[in-house]
Amino acid sequence: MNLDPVIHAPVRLQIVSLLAAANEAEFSFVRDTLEISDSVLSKQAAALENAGYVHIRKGHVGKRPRTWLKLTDQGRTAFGAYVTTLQQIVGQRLTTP
Amino acid sequence: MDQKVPSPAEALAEIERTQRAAYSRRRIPIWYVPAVVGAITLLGVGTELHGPARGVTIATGGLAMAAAVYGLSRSMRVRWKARAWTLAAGAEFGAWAVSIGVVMSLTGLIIGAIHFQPVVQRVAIGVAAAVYSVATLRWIERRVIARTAGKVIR
Repeated sequence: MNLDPVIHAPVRLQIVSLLAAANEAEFSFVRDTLEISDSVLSKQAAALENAGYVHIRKGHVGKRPRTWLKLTDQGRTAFGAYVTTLQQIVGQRLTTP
Repeated sequence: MDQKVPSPAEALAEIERTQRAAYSRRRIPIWYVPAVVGAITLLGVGTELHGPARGVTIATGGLAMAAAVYGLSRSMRVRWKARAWTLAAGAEFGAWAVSIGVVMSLTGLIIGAIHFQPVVQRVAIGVAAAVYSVATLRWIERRVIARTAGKVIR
């Protein structure tokens, strides 16, 4: 069973895992939660965007520029398949109350 | 940063850990509930007044409510999926919201028994609800986060 190489990298896995729980998350929230630098997040988010898994939206709140990240439908589908594959390999299910 | 590719078991654990870390940062601004209570209080006070003061107070309450909602939307850094909540977490948060109403009702009964003016009663009810919400907001957030333990969103 092959794991999606786009997702199966430490930082990208964290980014996609976080975005899976949200409709949309601000760049700074993702950066702070994952405790990574702006440049690392920018690079990995761009890689996910190039793969069609993440949509990056730039906007303003008042005069402040803000960047928002969200999983695309393709990204959400890929993440679901990725988790299913992991579970099959490991032979366990994630706890879902 | 360690870029070692995780094993499948490590990857599963990382997914759960990352989502838990994100949930633990889920916070309602501390000013938000008191602001909404204040706006509702202004609307209530307005209904007790007469003449131009009535319209002005009600309009101010409406504007305060709109400002609170706008302020919240500006300060939120994540728009969570509804399924990030568990049923238990939603029920507990709902019970807390109801408890604010209970505090308002009890305060109204106590103040009403002392026969204060209606405007004073409404202000006292609003102050009691605001103080209660500020005092308990972080506590209920911690409980809600605890109630989402183990919840994983795909």
